[in-house]
Amino acid sequence: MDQSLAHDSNSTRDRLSHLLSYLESGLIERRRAVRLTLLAALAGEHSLLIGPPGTAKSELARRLHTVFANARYFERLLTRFSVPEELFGPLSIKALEEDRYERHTAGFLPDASIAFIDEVFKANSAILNALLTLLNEREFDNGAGREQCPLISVVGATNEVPEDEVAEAFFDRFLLRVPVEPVSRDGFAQLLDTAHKADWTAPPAALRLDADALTALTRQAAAVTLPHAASTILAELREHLASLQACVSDRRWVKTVWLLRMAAACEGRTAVALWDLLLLPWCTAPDAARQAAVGTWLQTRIGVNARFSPPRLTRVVEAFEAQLDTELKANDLDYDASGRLRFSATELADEVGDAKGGAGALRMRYSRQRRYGARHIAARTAQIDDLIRRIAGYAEELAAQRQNLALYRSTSLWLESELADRVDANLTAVAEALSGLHQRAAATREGFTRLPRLPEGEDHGTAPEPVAVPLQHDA
Amino acid sequence: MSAPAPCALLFEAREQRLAALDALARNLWLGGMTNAQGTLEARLSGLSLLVDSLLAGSLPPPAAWPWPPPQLAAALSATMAQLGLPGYCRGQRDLSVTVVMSILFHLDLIVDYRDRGADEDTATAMALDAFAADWQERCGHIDELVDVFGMLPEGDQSLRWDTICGQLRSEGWQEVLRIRRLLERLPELGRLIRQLGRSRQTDEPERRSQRTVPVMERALAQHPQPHAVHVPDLPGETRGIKRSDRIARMLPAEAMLLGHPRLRLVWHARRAERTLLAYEDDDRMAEVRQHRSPVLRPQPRPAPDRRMETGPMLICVDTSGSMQGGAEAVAKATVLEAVRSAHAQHRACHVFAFGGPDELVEMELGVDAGGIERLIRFLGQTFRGGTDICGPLERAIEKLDAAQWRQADLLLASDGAFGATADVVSRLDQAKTTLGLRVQAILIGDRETIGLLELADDVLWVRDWRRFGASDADSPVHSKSLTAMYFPGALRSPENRRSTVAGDTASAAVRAGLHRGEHLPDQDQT
Repeated sequence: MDQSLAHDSNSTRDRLSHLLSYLESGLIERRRAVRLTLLAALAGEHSLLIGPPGTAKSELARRLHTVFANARYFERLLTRFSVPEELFGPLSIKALEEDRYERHTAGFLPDASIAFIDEVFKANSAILNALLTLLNEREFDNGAGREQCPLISVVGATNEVPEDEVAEAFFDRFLLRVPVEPVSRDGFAQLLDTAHKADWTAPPAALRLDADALTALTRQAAAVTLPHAASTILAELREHLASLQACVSDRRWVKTVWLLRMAAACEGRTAVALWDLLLLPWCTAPDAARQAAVGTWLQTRIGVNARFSPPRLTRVVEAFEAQLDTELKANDLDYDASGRLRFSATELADEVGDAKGGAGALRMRYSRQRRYGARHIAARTAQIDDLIRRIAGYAEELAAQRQNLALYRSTSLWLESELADRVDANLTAVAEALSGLHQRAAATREGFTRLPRLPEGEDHGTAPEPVAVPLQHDA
Repeated sequence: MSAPAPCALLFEAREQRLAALDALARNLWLGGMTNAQGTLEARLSGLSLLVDSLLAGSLPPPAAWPWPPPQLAAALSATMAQLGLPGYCRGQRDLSVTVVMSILFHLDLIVDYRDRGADEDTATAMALDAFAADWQERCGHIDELVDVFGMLPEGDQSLRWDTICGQLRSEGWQEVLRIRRLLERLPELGRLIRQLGRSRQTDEPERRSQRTVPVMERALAQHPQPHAVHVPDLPGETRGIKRSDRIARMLPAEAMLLGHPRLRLVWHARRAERTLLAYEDDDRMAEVRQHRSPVLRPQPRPAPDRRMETGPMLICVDTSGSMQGGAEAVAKATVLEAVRSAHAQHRACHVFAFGGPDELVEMELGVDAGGIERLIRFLGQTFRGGTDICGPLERAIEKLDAAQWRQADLLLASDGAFGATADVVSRLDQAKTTLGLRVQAILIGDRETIGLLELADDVLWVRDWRRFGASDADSPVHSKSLTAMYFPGALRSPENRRSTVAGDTASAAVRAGLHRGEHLPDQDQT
């Protein structure tokens, strides 16, 4: 059973990857939009493309329906003067003559599987209510009965998101908000080169997803587990957004998690991976700027936003370096009148931290480098060995994480490759930082072993003759 | 984004093990991380525990210490309990950290003692003894400091234990202790110094003032607020399509229904249900609304000011030769009491020690290593030289310009054998009227002089100053108003000023042959 499932899911992944390459062919810099709209459709959610006119938004949506077998496609541009007939079909006059108030929905939105509604926020109140029910419940009130609609996903498009309350509720119906930008400077030459879109061919019928495939995928997604680490981060993100007065509705969180499950199921995984969370910006933030902020937050939280060396570990390494420096500079003659080593709290804190000398060196007329015994050095090196083991532990964790990412990338359909590249580069930099720490620790250890030694079996408290050094007046 | 950046999940568990580091005082980091005893995590959490429990004034049982190892912990705990260290450290973060830092330091030396030939037990004993000896001495110093200053010196960066210990061994410190004893016999000094300054209101009314102050009253204010009112169905702009029963605005498609024999019934039904598709019109009109909100309005009312106290202090101490002996001791006690009071109540205190011209010494006295040193130096010196009050007064008036000293009061401690120039007196008077400055004098002498009376609003007369010096005799003077009694015209009081004229005016009047009450004509004009 497991074997067959694995085989099955594998084939699903390959099939989707194949389909994606069909969808993307000829479109420039639309990789993210294509993938997100497809993922939304597979999860049975609606997506909203936000961007200026002429950015291939409708082309995207038109291609999307070819992924599904027997999917009917419906497309309409809304204006303020659009009437319900344009979306939901004309009234049936024949039915009226029989005293029934019904619409001919065949060929209109209630009959479509994939729909593209351009300028979706122009919907007026005459249309809005019916549209909201349709998006939410996938049902349409027609005459005396409620019609079940085969709707899989609606792709909405808009130039900008209006800021009033009704629009807010409508906006919330779209789980994924995908900003679409005009192609960049680099992509422009390629854009001019593109062949006419009529050249585009739809995926072959055998490749398309039929109802059975979708049901199987849904069943698989339902079995995907959400690990504790992921749910913790979701909870933290929720609180973070709340602290910014950008609350996300509970319904949206539920749908978001379903989307994550579906993303995992599509790739044949049985658990949501940490990297899947990088999809969250599109579900939780309304516009490009805030999506970028959520993205940054997530990457920082996962620990892949930038090169960093773990701060506390770095402090320990620095402490040993400072200690070595102190012990090298320590003056053997820095005793007070009673023969005890000088101890000054402030100098401990400010300069060297350990008053095995150092502190009063400049005040001394005589100076001799302090010498250390075997036990002292053994104690220090033992502590550093512990530190080196500690660093090795960090490196192991990092290596595991990098391997994890590489594995994820090899099967991932949804992770953007630029993002993955960046994450990978950051992890590599962290690894470098760790190896830098390791080298510093090793060098410090070496330094401790080279400290000036007490002569063997000598010096039971008697100090050798001091050496005169010129008094320094710069202090 | 305003929220702080989250911590990274990567390495989170491993970094968490070193979490104790963040809570630890910065001074303990280095020693805590590189110490020769024990393992890192145990040591860090042990240090945190020690600092926190010292701060709370008690030590946990040694068995509960994560660090150092039980045997050392037991010995340390016994030593600290014996010295009463937890008691000293209660509520004193800097001191607690210093104690723990000292523990780290001494335990780190165990390996070195062993390297120099001691066996393990001896080395441990040596470290513990050195720790005990360190703190034995420091506890003695702490006791002395607390006795003199009422509390411990502040600030960990300025708390240079070695420096302070050195100072406490000096002879000058003995003088400080002597003057501290003397303060117990002069309780009125403390009371007076507490009342200096004008930063806090007391409940008593101020005797001198009766002026009108604005009292804030609640009132309602009306703010005009422009509003755009959305008026549906007012023909202005066609905004879209909606359902309604307005025939005038219905779509042509609805009119089509009327032509059909059956569909016209539909039209009627839809009209009755107000579901005809119609153009949606609306317009926006601007209007101004009055918005009422409570505000506070100042209302002038006569009210006596409250007496002010506890602010910064400017203290002028006469260090002239005439002060030698008992007066000197009282003056020094005044300064010490000012420093104690300033330290206990976190007030600023600036001392001008003045002798003759060019003999002005200014000191900022606080209870830290530098402040204690200056205080010891000041209290240890002998007073000599002349008396020039104008220099310090001018400096003090200048200081009042700074915001930090604006609420300061001036304290003069002197034997009163001085006089200020008319110019300085008038500047001081101006500061009194414009800034509300008050001048308190401590008269450590036998007579009130004009000079002192002119300057001070209030005089505390320490008549028995001789007792505090070498000889112990009562003042022979029975009243502080001696001058006023025997030389009433000599005081530069407002009445006297009105009834006297300057020398050149007088000689002009004599030349003009005028009699009492008559004035030169040109003088009348001025």
